[in-house]
Amino acid sequence: MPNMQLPPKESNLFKRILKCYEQKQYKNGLKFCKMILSNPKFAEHGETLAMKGLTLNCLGKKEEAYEFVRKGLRNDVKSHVCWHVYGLLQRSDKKYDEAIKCYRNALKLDKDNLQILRDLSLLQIQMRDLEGYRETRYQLLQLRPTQRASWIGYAIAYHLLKDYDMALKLLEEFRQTQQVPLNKIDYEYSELILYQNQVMREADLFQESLAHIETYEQQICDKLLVEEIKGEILLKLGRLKEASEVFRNLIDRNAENWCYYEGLEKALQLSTLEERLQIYEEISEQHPRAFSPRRLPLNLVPGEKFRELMDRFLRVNFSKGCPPLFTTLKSLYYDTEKVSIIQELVTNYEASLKTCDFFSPYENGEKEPPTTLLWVQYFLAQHFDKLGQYSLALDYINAAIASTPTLIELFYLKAKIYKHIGNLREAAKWMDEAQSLDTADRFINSKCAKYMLRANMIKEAEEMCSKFTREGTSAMENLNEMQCMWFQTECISAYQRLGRYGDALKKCHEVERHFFEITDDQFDFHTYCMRKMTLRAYVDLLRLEDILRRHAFYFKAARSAIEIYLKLFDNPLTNESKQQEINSENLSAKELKKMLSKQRRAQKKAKLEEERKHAERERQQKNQKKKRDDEEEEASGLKEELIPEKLERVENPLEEAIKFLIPLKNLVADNIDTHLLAFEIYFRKGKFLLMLQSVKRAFAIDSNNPWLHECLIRFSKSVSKQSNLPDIVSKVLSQEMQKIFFNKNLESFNEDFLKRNSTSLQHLLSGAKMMYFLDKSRQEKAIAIATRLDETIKDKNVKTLIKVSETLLDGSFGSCSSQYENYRMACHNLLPFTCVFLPSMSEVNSPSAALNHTANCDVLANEI
Amino acid sequence: MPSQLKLLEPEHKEGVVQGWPRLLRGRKLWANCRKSSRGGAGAAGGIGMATEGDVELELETETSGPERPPEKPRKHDSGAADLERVTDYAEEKEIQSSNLETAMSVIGDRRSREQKAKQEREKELAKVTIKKEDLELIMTEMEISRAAAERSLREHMGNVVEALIALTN
Repeated sequence: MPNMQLPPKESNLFKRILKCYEQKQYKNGLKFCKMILSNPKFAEHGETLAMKGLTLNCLGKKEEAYEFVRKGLRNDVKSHVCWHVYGLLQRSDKKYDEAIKCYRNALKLDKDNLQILRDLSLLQIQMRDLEGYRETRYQLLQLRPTQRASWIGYAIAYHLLKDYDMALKLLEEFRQTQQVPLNKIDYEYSELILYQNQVMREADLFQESLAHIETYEQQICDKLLVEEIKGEILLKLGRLKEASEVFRNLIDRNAENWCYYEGLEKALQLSTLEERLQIYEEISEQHPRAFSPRRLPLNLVPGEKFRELMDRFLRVNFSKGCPPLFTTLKSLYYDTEKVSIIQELVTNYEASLKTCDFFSPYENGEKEPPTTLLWVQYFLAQHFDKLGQYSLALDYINAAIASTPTLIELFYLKAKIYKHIGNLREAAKWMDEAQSLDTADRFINSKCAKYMLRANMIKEAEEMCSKFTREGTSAMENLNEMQCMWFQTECISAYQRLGRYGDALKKCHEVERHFFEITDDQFDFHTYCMRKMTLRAYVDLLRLEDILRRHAFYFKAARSAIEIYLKLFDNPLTNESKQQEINSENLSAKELKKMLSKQRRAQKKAKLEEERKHAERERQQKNQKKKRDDEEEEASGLKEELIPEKLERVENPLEEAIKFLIPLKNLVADNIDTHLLAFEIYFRKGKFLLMLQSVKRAFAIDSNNPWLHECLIRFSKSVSKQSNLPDIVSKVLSQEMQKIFFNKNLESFNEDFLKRNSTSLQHLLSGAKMMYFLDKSRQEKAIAIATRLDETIKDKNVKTLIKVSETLLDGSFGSCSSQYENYRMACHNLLPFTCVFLPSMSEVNSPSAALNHTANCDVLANEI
Repeated sequence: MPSQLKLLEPEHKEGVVQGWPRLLRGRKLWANCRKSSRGGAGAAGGIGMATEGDVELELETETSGPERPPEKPRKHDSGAADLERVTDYAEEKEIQSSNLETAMSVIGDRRSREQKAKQEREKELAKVTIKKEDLELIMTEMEISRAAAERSLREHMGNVVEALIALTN
């Protein structure tokens, strides 16, 4: 009875339900459903019930939706409509694998159903089942050879599978069916041609591609791209004369695109420096206002000629007042000769401008305006900051500020210098000063928040951001909703430093969810792009989504998450008080008391705050009974809420860490940290072959990496301690490890490493750590190596010195408090402004600083 | 010059604060339209039951149906409106077919050849004998799926040491 055919009247009604669904008229759809179902004869009609469920789902009533759809399916399992509907419902729930199964069932009942095939193909491309996608697109083409999408979809399948021949054949067949008159410009046709050309170029068919672009040039809308393609292909084909023409024209269109100059140089095949400079000279005359033809030669020339060109370049820009001048020159700083010439030129300007308002004494003509000196000082501050001469940098920036106390850039730079010095509180203070000069400038506001986060001032940072977030919700929530990931990744690091692992993990998971959402957002474009013929953009989108998690934001979040999970595995949290114990170990009784009372107050305050927020949220919910908000509520309710306390007490931290690791292993295999993090996880899991995999991959990237060195020694030691490995595993291990260790014993392997890197502090630190690790009786020797500060050491910078001092504290060298104190003093003499090395006296006065400090140590103890 | 440098007082803040949400609103709306679409007909179009002809019959009677709720005019800017349209249902455009048939035949030939090559490779791999305990060792040691483990073992002709070395590369 339930699967009976509907009589004509009801059948018509049912078709209307479908139509309403297509046109998003869900309320009407429900009315039609009711009209059918209210007739007792059809009250159990499966397909109508299923459609009712699907329509309800669109109105946000998910539970009811599942109920109706399942009931419909039960009543009529032989209906492809019911299976299809169930598939759509699963798909809307993002259960793509389940949805594919439903579609397959539906297709068993009706193998040529166009709509189901289309839906299946969407899921296949979304899941990147390219082979399956090609199969489905083939069936669609067979069924509907007259539809555009059939051809395009099938061609894209081949393109993505890198079968360019077939893709091109299909595209050409399809193009021939498009009748567009030669003189008419049709955007979609233009896009089709450009896509065809892109496939040709990817297939290295340059001759064909050039002929193709020349044939259809008239009908392509993007004229600039046509020229760029021509230039690129002519170069590839070695038709240099024509290529040079093209690139000259391109430079005339836009004289600031560096790629065009690169192309022009390649096409002209200039051998001598003079010839190359000549070209830039010419272009510079044709485009007197252009910046690039003056900037680019600076990369090429050495010595006196460089001095001459640079002199000219700097004078113009200083007179004009060009804030990003240093940034444009920063890439020259790898060359010490150029750096010293720049320094000489600019310090001379400064001396001369101070006395006579000219760039050099004995000049005539117009005097420089007072701002010139300001920009020169600003430049010098950046210059010395870059060279690590921080006190000089501060002198210059302070002089500039004294003359112009209203310029934001100056305070911005001062903050930056303090950041490089390693005094993050001071940095945040000056960035706040910069921010206060223009509270309507969102850039400086964000920068200030970021600096506050670097100084672990999370609350202050959130308040800073709240000037620009929506009113009514907390800044934290709003920034999450807006997927503001710079903020979230900085928050993660701050929480991590403070040892608030639960909060940090919450943010890590939030970032992870953003990436999930971004992947999911591509779904709608599978149909849209094919319909609009924006195929180049579509293929680019697919490729972007494939490597999405290679993004630095994901890497940062994943790295922190892994580090924290490792830490939680090593020291699981059992109850609330434990975390405090760790933090308070290094404090005296008085400080501890102070700290605890402060914490209690903070907790109380946080609780009040939470209550206030809760009340506010409730009030909001009551006020805004709008439909849209309801929908949102439900949608967000689907996701499991992230609770810090639960996250930091997760049952199996290593498995959680692996979830973050896998995308890195697949996508960021060229970054050595990926494999070293992987090693740390597998080391704790005792998976020897996976440890081997990690060190082998890391070894291939940089065999001399200090962290890798530590991993290798710990790995080798744990292998030698293990006696009951399966034969096959030990065979693989010994065979492969031989290639790395060459049968050396670990002590001599470590000695070699130390000898090889005797001037790099980072390497010495790792080698020394391992010396102590292998033989506890050599503590003194190991510490002596790690704390070397003599002239031969090359990397005595803030970062490395802090790292050494933290390693001294974290137990890697056993207990060594007196050596730490000596080392701290020695570093303080080297870097008087860096907080970590300040005598502890000043820290006692500010308990928050002391707190910060211990938290820092705590985090770095977990440095792996 | 210093006097030219802008020094904005806090009262300017108001104006900017009113200005900014436009940027944010774009994403917000996108989120909304995504939510409404994903469940909906949206990207997928309808349920494939009615043939195109049938639908057209329906189109005429559509206007006589129960009255629709009036579409609320959207306040947001056109960018967001475009985003809404991403999920609209649209009929596929048709090609005026001329020589589709020859094209179709070319495709058919090519396809059958491909499938044959693929099947032969699979057949070859299937001939390799592998040991169950080797398979399980690879799965637990390398933490990979059965299918991936089996594939690598077969590709190395059942030699488990070689397979493992390749997997750790």
